[in-house]
Amino acid sequence: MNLDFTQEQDEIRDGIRKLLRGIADDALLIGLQGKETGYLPAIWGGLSEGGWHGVVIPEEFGGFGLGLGDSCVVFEEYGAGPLPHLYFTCAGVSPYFLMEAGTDAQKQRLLPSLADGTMRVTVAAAEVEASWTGAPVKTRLEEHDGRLLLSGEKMYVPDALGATHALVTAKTASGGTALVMVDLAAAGCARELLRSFSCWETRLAFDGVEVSADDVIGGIGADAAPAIARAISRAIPGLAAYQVGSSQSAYTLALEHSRTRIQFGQPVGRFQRVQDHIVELINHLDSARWLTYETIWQIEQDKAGSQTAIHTLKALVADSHWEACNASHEVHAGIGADMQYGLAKHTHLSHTLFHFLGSPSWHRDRVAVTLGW
Amino acid sequence: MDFEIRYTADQANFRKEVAAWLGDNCPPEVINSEWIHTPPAIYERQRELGRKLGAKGWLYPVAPTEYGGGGLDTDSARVIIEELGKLGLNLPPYYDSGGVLGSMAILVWGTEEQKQKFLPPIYKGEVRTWQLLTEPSAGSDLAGVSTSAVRDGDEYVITGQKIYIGSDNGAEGFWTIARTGDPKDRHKNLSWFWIGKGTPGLSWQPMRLLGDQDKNTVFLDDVRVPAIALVGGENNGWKVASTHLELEHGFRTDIGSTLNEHKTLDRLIKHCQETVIDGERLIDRPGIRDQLVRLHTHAEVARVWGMRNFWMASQRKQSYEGSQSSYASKTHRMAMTRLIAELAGPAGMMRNGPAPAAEGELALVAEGAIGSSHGGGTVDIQRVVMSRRLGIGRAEGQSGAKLA
Ligand SMILES: Cc1cc2nc3c(=O)[nH]c(=O)nc-3n(C[C@H](O)[C@H](O)[C@H](O)COP(=O)(O)OP(=O)(O)OC[C@H]3O[C@@H](n4cnc5c(N)ncnc54)[C@H](O)[C@@H]3O)c2cc1C
Ligand SMILES: Cc1cc2nc3c(=O)[nH]c(=O)nc-3n(C[C@H](O)[C@H](O)[C@H](O)COP(=O)(O)OP(=O)(O)OC[C@H]3O[C@@H](n4cnc5c(N)ncnc54)[C@H](O)[C@@H]3O)c2cc1C
Repeated sequence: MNLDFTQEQDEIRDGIRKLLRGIADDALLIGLQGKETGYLPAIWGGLSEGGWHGVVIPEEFGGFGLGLGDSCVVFEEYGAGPLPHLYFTCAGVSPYFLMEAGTDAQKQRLLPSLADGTMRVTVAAAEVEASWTGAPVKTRLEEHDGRLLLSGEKMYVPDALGATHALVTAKTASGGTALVMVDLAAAGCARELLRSFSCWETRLAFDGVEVSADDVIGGIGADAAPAIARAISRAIPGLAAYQVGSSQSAYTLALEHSRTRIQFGQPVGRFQRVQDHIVELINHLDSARWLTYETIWQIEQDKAGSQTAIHTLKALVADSHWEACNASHEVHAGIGADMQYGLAKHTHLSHTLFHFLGSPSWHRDRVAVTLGW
Repeated sequence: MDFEIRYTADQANFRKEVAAWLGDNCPPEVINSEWIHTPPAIYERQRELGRKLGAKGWLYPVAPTEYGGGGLDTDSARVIIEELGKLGLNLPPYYDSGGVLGSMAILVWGTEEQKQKFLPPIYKGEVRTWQLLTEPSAGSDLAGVSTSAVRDGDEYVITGQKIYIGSDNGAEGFWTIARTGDPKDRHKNLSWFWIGKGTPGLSWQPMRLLGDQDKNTVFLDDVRVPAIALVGGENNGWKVASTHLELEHGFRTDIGSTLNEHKTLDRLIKHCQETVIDGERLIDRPGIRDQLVRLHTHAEVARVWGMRNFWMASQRKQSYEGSQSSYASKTHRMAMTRLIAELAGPAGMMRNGPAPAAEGELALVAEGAIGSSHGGGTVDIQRVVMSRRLGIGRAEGQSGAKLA
């Protein structure tokens, strides 16, 4: 047993932390809130220079090819700011979709552009009546006079206004699921920012957007559903690490505030009610943190129960991130609600990610199924 | 990171040795026997097994050999704990919190002479020990005890009353903290004493608590102990106590206890799988299923935290994590109780009759949950400890107490 990080992981953490401090400091991230997109060339370019968009992409496709645990060290740091979820989605979700569903030729062609940051690929699965994992999607990919056309509407897409492309799920005439790489600048494609208690969730509408056969990931006629399910499972540990990083920041802010905010002549952290909020906060944080680390280890070791662990993790982290932010707000009261303070960006993120990659209740059901109940 | 304890070839062989030895030496009636409310005849056999384990150094496996311990590494100790666990037994195979906690305090704070004198009987299983801490007027505020100890020549004379102490079937070893200094010098007026077997003036009256917990009121009437019974020096008792409180607040070198969470849950799941109402298994009802998965998630967290604490304690890096686990398991057990009633219905709370759910096992857990939320520090005190360690509202956090 050894629950320390490796020296290499410590070095990776130092590297990304130092970089982010320079290109994405707190003032910058606070200023991003309320903007049309979380995409900022200065941050994106800085990450491109270091090759950070390609942490999970194998070296043969131009990435770092980091192991799961190592890449999660990076995503935990992404969460600390937090970097907007476009950055996480592009580096920690889309690559898995391509790696799982793509043909060799598609991987050769596309992954290097994800790794070097020339393509910013978001993912579009949910719809008004369809979730990530549940009801069948209504968006259709159909052939008309030898042209492949995409029609329909996608909801809650991570920051489509900041992305160049989206991986879109669609139904085909045969009833299978297609995964389509769509250039968001294409004719017939519209994007809209949704106003919500979340951040940069967008609506995408496709009005007969023409795509090529090469854009259909896995090739025309292939059912991408199993590959998508695998990709979601592979992306969950990174998502959890990203949320752990954010929860940690919500904790650090609360702890600091408990020491420095004086009311009734003493630091508010001397009041047990305030202490209780922080205790609940760190309980949520540590639940997520240690389940994340153990799940990563289970996957790396190819343990029999790792699929159950993945579903358990997603359900738990969605809750714990949300609750950690709430608790931090209770500790802060007024100032935490001030958009200029820096806590709200975590809270918004926790809401945004709640249903991302499948809702907690769906994942809880998968826990029961995979346990054979 | 590596979450698995990797046993060496030697330890794997040791496991075989332990299993074979237990096969030869563990009386059948002791297997799966209770820790609390134990019939005297069974208790005697538990003690007999304890003495045999003690003779081999396996009762306190990591304790130093020069005082009668096993001198083994923590992983080998786990082998013993796991093998006993397969027989439904803990280590020691009977309630001995006073021995587990008190021996650590003596090891850290005792003089060589005291260690030679007090530790071997504990480690060899010759005495079972109670901790005499709580008083009618001092519970959470342990530093406010009013039991006093007065020096008289080469002896101390201890007088006072303790409550909610120990177990059924008596004990032979005891330790306590008593006031030796000025009441105004809080935390600097206490001393820690070992009280040996058969010391006159010590007596107790059984009391029965919720959930079939056998506890006692203990009376100390001019109990005379030799000066050597004072461990850690006069008025230094609070520091000595901090060592065993550290253990009691959740840091153990074993992680066996955290498995209990899953044990009860597994029983509840089995009940929901086996019970069919209106042609539908309870577990197939979405609401019930969802609740059970939530509990499963809690239990998973408890399990992983248990491993984390085991690791932290082995590295001597423990801080708030022990109290965190303790708080979580206390509150989790209460939540589980509520769910047992909800999912298993009234039968979940029955221990006999024609149809107790899960042969009454769930009822037993449910009954014990409230009492065990107080023992070893209330849920509030766990949070107080966490807050201090984390440094909430303070310039910095406090570090963990000294362990051997
Ligand atoms: C949406 C909104 C609208 C508002 N509208 C108005 C308005 O119209 N007019 C106006 O004057 N103000 C207004 N306020 C300010 C509001 O009244 C304060 O935010 C509130 O009283 C808390 O004060 P604080 O933010 O300074 O937090 P603090 O007092 O600094 O509290 C920090 C933490 O310490 C806790 N705490 C403090 N004292 C104790 C104690 N004795 N025991 C236990 N815990 C304690 C708090 O509960 C909190 O968890 C508004 C605030 C918000 C968020
Ligand atoms: C099953 C069981 C086994 C036990 N075994 C032993 C044993 O073997 N040996 C032994 O010595 N004792 C034992 N005890 C006693 C146990 O340690 C005490 O019950 C416990 O420490 C609480 O003390 P109290 O009951 O006097 O409650 P009190 O201390 O009177 O507490 C009453 C309430 O006040 C709260 N409170 C007190 N102080 C604070 C504070 N600073 N901040 C916030 N809230 C506070 C408590 O949380 C509680 O809610 C046992 C108790 C039980 C129930």
